[in-house]
Amino acid sequence: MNRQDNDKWLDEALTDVIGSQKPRTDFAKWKNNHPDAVEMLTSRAGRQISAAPGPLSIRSIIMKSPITKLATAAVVIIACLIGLSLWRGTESGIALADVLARIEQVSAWKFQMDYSWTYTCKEDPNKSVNYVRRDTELVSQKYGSKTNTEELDPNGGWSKFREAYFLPQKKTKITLLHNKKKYAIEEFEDDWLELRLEENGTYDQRAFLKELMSLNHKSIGRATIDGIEVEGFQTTDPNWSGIPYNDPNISGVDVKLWVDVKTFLPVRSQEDYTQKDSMSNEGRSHWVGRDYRWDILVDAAEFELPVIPDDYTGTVVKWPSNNEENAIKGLKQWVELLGNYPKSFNDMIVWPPLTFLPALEKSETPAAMRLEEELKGLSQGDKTNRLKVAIMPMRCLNRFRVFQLFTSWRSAGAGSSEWRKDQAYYGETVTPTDADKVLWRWRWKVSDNEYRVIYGDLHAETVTPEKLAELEAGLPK
Amino acid sequence: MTEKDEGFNEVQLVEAARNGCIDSFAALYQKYHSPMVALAYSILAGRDRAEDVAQETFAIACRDLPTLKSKDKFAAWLAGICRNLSKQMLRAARSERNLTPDEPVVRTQDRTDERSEAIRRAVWNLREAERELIVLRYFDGFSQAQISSVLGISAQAVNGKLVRAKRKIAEYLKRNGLTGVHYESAR
Repeated sequence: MNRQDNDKWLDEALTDVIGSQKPRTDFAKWKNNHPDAVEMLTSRAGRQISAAPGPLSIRSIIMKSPITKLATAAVVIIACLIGLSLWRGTESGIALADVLARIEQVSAWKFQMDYSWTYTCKEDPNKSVNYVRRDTELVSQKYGSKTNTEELDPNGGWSKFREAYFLPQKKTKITLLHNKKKYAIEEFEDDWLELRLEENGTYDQRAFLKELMSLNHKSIGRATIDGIEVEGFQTTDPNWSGIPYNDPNISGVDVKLWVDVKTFLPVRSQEDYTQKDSMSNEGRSHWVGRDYRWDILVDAAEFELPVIPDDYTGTVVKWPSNNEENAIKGLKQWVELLGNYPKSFNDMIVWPPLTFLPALEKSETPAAMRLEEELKGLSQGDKTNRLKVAIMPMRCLNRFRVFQLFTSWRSAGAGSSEWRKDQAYYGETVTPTDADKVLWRWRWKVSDNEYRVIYGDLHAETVTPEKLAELEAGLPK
Repeated sequence: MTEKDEGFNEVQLVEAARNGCIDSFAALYQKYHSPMVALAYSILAGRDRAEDVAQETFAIACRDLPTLKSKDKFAAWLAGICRNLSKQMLRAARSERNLTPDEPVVRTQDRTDERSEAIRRAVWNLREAERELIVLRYFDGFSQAQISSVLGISAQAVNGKLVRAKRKIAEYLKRNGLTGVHYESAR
């Protein structure tokens, strides 16, 4: 039997065994079965201006005939000539996904970030603040990022006060506070590293864009900035916070991004929002990203570990992994020290001198008293450093929450806001004795149909959406 | 329509679908539903499960379209989603039933079934990339150009790899006592 015959019988045999009835390709049925997916797709209509041709089938039918082919070509040429004669510049139709893809291609960039914060204290106007600073940021996809921060001196001029290096390859962040002659070294596990890379929305334009794409946004047309023709995008979505923290105290959001219509790279960014503190005093933040220099050459030496001057004092903090075990440790420590769980996500942000010390002083638990005893006689600085280490499990809680949010955010993909529903926390109503009440839930990483929950007594389990609904229905309203 | 026209058109369709045009997405669905069923089938060896995976593949594509970087590589991107989903399903099936569904479980009834099973085993003994190629070629008679766009390799490479994969199948069958003569006589 020759090769051709051999192939023939094998072709027939394979067709017999593998080939079968044509699959049932029924888009209408698929559409009916996937309303959420269809909604997600069609909700993007109108957000980005772009050529939207009709479906392939219509074009196929038209182009089958040679006469219609010629007629279509003639119409296209005439339309182009008329269009050229009338053209005065229209919307570029830039899609933010293309801007993100373009940034991914850039190896390194530099820009300036101006920041001002106006805090109005109702009780005591003397405590109101108007703070201004500016950062020069160098970002390298390969080496990490480097920030030099200058503050506006009340006596005039700028003073350099902070230098920060974020070095993913070394899993380290080093901050030098020149005005206080201090340093802080933070060492991360891989999961922290991933979080740090993605959460830095204000400073990393990739994270900024992903967040903008995931929220309601619109084109605000063209403008000229520094002689460059740009197209602007804007969101006023209250969910914006530069990073997906779900902070309920953020309002008055106005975020804009202007993109070069020729290079598709950002030219200017602006973020404005107001945050309220626990006393309802308002702080208005205003960020402006400008003077972008894209695709610059950087020297690896610029990202070497900086030399810390001998007369600087500081701390080295090793952040533990963002996992369930450590989250439970944090909750347990919270109860031991303060008597109950944090009431809300907002309370999880623990900053020793500001938010933790007053709470510790009020607490009467044995663990709180022991810790207070340890802190007696220490200077304010030593007390802060000692506390930072002592309450590390509690400090990890908020990081863990953000890490889970990012996990949901990533798996949901740009354009979706469903991930915001993945996490819930019921510290207001659940106590450490509630073994049957869910304290905290988040979507389990491996499956869309499973939720991981931590109960009031801190045991954890994976439950179905039905079981979760049942558990949540049983919680006090 | 030339292949180039079709490629140009597809980029436009992808762009329009990405901007929310459901008709354009429907056109992409019509074009790639069957290849996705075939691709999933090459991994799962089960027709119903392959259909389920293909359905889910398009739902995920709806969600993730804005993240697609190269609009001219839509088919290969879609195939990537389909492969991941199929493997997830395979893992779930393995842990649930402790089966090894790499090879389909077929009960033999007569000699014809035995031969079919031998051919099936020959296919599922191939490396994954070769198996994908063979299933795509014979599942619904896709052209080399279609296979090329789904697998993200050139049509020439498709041809070469197809010849080598078929040779491996023929050798496997020969070792197991099945040649063209035996096959013809049993039909």
